[in-house]
Amino acid sequence: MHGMPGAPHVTDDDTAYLAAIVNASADAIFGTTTDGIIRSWNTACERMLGYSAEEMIGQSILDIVPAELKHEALAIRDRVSSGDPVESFETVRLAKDGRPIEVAITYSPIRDGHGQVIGVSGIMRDVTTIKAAQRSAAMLAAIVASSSDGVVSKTLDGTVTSWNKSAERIFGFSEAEMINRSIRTIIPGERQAEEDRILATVVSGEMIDNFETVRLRKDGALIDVSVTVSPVRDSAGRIIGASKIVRDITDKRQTREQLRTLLAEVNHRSKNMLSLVQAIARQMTRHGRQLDLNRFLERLQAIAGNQDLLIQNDWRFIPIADLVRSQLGAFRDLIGNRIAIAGPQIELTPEAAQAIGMAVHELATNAAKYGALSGDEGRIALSWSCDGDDFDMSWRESGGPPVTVPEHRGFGSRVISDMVRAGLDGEVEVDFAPTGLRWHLRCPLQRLSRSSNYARR
Amino acid sequence: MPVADKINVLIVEDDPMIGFDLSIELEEAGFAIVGVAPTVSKALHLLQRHRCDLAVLDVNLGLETSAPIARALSAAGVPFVAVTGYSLDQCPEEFATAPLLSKPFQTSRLVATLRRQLPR
Repeated sequence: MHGMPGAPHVTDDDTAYLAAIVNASADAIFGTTTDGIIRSWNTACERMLGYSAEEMIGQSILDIVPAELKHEALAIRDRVSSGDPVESFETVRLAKDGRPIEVAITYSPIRDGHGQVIGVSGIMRDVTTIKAAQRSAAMLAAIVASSSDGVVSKTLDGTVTSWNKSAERIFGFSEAEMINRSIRTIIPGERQAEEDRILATVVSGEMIDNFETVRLRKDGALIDVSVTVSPVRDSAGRIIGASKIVRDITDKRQTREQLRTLLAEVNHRSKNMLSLVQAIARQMTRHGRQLDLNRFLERLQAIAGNQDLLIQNDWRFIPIADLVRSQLGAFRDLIGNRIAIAGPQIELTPEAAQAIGMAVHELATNAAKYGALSGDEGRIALSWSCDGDDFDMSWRESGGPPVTVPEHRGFGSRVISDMVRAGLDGEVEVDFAPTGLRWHLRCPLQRLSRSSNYARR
Repeated sequence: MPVADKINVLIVEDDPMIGFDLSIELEEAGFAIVGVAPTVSKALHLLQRHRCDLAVLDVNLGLETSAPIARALSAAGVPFVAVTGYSLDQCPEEFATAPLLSKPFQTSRLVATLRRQLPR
């Protein structure tokens, strides 16, 4: 054993006494020669690093230094060997199992009776837990600072003790303005009683979860917020204040209102759709006629097809060419050869698309049953054009079996004439020419499309 | 078109098929149809030109509501019945005192409701 600095007369008893103290110390204590050979290694060293005194005494202290830190350790050894102590140097050492341990080491020179430095003592403390705690505290502080929620703490009498950036943004009051001020500053007059309730809840140790209320901004504006308040306890478990997380829910409330509007719209549209189905069924069964279920279902499918097109265009319009192609879907393979489609692009209102779509559907069904599409030869020319403020559309069949005028007017016939005429303020001509059916619609363009007359939604 | 010895009804409905169906049903029930208007402007135009004893108003007309028509009818003392897919609380205040039929409804109910609006 070597003498301690400043203890020139040391008896054997003293040495044994000191050795016992060192060995029993909770801190890891070791001693080395000035060239780093370990001379002493207490039990706390064993506990911390896993090496026994037998294993370490006589070995180089550099054995427990990570490779990349060896030059740092050598520099410190030189400094201490020249007589300079180093206080709480934070570094990393390796345990026997290779695990790095964060430590703080205080190095002191060991002098002989003449004051000559003959070794280095190290007192090593495991700071892994403290470091981890510091890191998590820094992390928590960073989270609070960068949180998009306002995070605020207050004492039990409502005095603000912390106020993060988001609280500044939400309420318009800076941290400097709010610290030591009452939290009641941001509570509207008629809601002051809320704070009494909140404090009473916190004092009783309960938390308040997502309480939706209204708070006051610095500029006097009222804002919708959701507040979560939890009691804050000291290390003895006493409630000493409250932490408060405030979320601006203005957006959420607006979303809720939009949703309500949307649901009203869905309600309206779905009932309208049922009315439409009812109208079709009623008109198909006029004068006591049996419902032709297949035709009824075909008509419903044709209308459902319109809905898909409408959704694709944000429920605003249906491009006329898409509508026509959709309604002629059953004859897709004939388009371009026996069915010629031509006309400019027009964005039809949903209502106009329904009227024209139903008409095209009825015309196509009739053509397949009795007209140009009933054989292998017939042709259809479907074209439309805009002429100033007017819209023209015509359906001309040719090459099919000779046409005869039907004896009575069924649903389809009334759709292509009366319904379209009434729904579009138009003129409709239906000509059962022997060479092929001709249907012609002329109506104000304004009745079909908003694009040229109204600003889009 | 309006007929002198019949009750003249204006139909405001933006869906062409539903409007068409309503006009046929009401004609069959003995009313004369002033016209089927899909928009506020068309309805106000028809009201200016024709005698109108009663009206059926679809509340939602796509981009607009028929509230301005309801105001014009109330001012002229013409009773009307509102038909809508909205629930009651979703309707504009102009319809607060009008009888309201929720879509879809049977023609017989509409006819009965319309007749109740007529002065006895």
